[in-house]
Amino acid sequence: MSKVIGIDLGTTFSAIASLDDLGNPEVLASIEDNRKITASAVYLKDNEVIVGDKALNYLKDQSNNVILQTKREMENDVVYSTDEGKWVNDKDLVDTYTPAQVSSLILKKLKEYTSDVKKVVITVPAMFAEKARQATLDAAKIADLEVIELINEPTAAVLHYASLPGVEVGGRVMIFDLGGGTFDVTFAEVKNKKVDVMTSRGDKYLGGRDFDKEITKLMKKKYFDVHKVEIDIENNKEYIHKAEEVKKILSVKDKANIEISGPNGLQKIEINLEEFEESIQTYIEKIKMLIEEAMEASGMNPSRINQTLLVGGSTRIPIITKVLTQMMGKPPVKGVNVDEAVVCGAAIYAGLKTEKETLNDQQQEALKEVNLTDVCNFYMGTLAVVTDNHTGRRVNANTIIIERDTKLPVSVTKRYTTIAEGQEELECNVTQSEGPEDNKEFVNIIHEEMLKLPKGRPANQPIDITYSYDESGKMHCMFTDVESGNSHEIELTPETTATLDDAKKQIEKISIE
Amino acid sequence: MKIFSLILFFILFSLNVDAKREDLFETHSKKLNQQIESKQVDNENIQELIKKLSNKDSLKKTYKETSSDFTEILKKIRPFIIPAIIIIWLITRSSNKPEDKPKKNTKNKSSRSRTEEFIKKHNEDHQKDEMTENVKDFFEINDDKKYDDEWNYDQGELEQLRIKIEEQQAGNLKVYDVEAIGMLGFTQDQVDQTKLENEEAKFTCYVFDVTDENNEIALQGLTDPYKDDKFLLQSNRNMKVGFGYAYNMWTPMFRFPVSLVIPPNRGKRKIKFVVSVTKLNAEFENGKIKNKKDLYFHTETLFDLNFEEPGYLDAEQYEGDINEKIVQLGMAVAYSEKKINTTGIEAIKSWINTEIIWKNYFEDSTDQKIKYSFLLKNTLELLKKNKLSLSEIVKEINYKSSVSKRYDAMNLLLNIAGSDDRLSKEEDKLLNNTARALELDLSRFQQMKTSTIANIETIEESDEDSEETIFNFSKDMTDADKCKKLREEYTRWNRQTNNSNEKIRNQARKMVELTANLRKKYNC
Repeated sequence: MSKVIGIDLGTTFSAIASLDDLGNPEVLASIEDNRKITASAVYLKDNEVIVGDKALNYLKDQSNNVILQTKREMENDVVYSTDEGKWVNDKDLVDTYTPAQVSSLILKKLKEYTSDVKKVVITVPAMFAEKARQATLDAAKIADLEVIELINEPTAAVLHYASLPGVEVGGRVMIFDLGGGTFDVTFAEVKNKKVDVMTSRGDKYLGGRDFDKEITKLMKKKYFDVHKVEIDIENNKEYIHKAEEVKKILSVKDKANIEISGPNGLQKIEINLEEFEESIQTYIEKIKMLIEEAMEASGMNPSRINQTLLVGGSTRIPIITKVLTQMMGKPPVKGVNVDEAVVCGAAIYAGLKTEKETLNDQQQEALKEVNLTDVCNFYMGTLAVVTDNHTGRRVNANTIIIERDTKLPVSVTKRYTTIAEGQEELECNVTQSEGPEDNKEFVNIIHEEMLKLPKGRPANQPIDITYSYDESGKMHCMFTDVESGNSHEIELTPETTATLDDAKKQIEKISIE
Repeated sequence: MKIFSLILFFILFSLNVDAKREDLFETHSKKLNQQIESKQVDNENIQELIKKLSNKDSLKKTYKETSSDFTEILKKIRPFIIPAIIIIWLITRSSNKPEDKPKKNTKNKSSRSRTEEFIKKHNEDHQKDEMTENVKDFFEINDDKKYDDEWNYDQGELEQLRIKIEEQQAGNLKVYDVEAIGMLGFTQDQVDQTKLENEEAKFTCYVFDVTDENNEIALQGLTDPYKDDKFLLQSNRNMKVGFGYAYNMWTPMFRFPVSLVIPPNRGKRKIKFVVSVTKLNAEFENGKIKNKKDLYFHTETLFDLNFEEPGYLDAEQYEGDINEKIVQLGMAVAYSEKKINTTGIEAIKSWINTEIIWKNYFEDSTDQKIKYSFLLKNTLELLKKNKLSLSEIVKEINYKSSVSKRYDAMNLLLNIAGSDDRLSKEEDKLLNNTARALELDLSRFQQMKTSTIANIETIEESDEDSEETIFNFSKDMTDADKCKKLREEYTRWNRQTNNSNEKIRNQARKMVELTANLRKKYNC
């Protein structure tokens, strides 16, 4: 019998969890080192691949072959070049790998921690755009995994919190998810095991890795102060690794002493907590702004939030707790493994979404009362000719069909009309945006196709556009010419493309250690 | 209705006669029942029936012969006789012309709920900053079922259909609603005519300036769907029509964006809205129906408008002046760093070509080319000598141009500023000041600037306050205001870190950093 599996595909660490026989999530450990979280690092050379902490060992001598932070590239049209040691736009280079391919290697590695893995739930940041979600699904396909659904990381985490015995979670909660590469803040209403998500906001470029970069800048300054020579923090990935060690120390101590190498040899340096906190102030400001924005969007204020739940390794940094306590007027909930909350929630969600016959009686009993209502994290719309309210001119602009934070599932129909006499075609665009944008430059067109219309009709023929969005974030769109009944249906689900097949073949040649 | 009335009639009688006359009445009832069942109540039968029923004497006679207390029975049934006669009269009337039966308000919708429904739908369609896709969205004219809902039907006596104008706020869009009330009041001939056209009529609304009683001018319309083939401002729709159709409350029938209703001249104007109800294929010329035979009727209303902008005739008159002033303003932006921005000059030349030369394509453009060539040269000289008065230019633009023209000007200025892929502090300051001077909506201006910033490589940060310039902080803003504004900007740009356009995405990341850094500076 195949297992119920959840995977947290993180920027710096990844994890895999399954439901045990009693229906509780259990994080699976690596067979090699018995660690429950695996570094999202990939060493790639001559069709040999090492995934996880061991890959980090190559940072010193072969850093070009070590790929880090792949998740941040998921939405980009880039490839990793082992020759250049970075993500590049030039796809004609040899020995290059797409973000989906590299991620698939991490997934393949996690798959090895247990047997009978076929169907999984994978977590993604709440603010992951369609393209990044698609790339995640592609990665799963390359790794021969069937994705039941993608789930937003903070949503998965709150599911875990709500299901935890011994942790009292209830009322309106803020899920503060600060991981290695991304930050999400989510507000939800929790009643027993019933989770009702209200809104999410996030920053895809805010996480522990950014704090590490700030530490490398401090390292560079301190080395320069002594030797008057700069260390190359941009290209030598070892410094990032060192910085991470410093950050970990500063999460429990006031200062960290480390030895770093540079052009003039080794140098011992000391970085204290105050210096570190000062260096990450810009990020703290971003965090504060996103919390303010999310509160505004959900009509909340700190006094109406009952609890703050922490998720992600970077929440261990003392200033985070300080800021949250200051903003929310009460300290966050402690006592939960912040590294495992997301993957455990993913396993619970996988249990909810899997076929009943896959679960035993105890598992079914454990999940009986778990219930999740999520929201649409984006505005979904289409391009249409509208009247500009300032100039009175007709302009081609984005119009919203489904509002952000609408409860899922949802189906909305809006009526539009053709604009020209004898119009024979209609451009069917599906747009996605984080804000209620009218400027078409500021929305992502995630699908476009033409709908044929009957000939010889006057203008103003009604066109009904229906968008339906299910709980998993899959969208179904229908453009209907009311008079003729001609319609065009769009299912925004992943399709295996020739490119994806090639990508899979390329990865299949590689043996993973 | 006929069947119901007959049954009611039957019940009324059957309830009030005693058993002794049952046999006698059975004959009539049977006849009636046969007629109901067959559902073929033809005129002859009905007339015969009425004759029989109205011939009370004969009926009474028969009763007298068969029952001694028939007088008492008559007393009992007396209250029902008049209603019964009315019912039968109605049946007879409707039988004559069954298809012309007036529609009754079976929907039981109150006036209030209709208004609320309209407003609700209206608001749904105009959420947030979004404008209407098309005015017809509000009326959903293409669904037959919806047609039935359009008319409120008659509730009591209504006058002939009339209209009035209401200025409304539809989301962010100001509109004039042409609202109607009253009976459609079609004659029999007109109804017969509409039957040849699927029981539909065309409702067309034209708008005229009648300030000068002797010179009625149809307003111009250049924008779909508010224009006819001769570019006059109009709106039209086909509607179901028939006897008894009415609006029993003021109901929006047409909607025109305020920005499209432009009279010929500035000042106090008398504007006339005319709704013509015509055959479907009726044609119009200068806003008037070509063939009067096609017209069922028309209704009109006057509206006093205080138009503070230049009218279209004024605009035509001022167009040359305004274009020159805009070009001079553009030159000021291109020279804002005290050196000429050549790509900016190219942007101005391109604007001249599109807005002036191309628009007058069929005319000899040599003179215009020479004129603008001199203007560019002379303006540059004035700029070099610091003798170009921007405040005078802006003052003239404000007086002589429409708001939309001023937004066009700002678009040009932003294009010039961003033409070299960088935004200098000087350019930025000049843009901010000009936007204020042109009395543009500053949040809209900031949106326009966001679009420019998103598409350039570099934003110059030459000194301390250059960052504030980018976000258009005004001097009277407190730190708290600035913090709020910075969060708005952060939100705006953070959303674009997901943009599929790499250039915009990268610029968004820079702007996110900038806002967060500034927040730090103001201790937000």
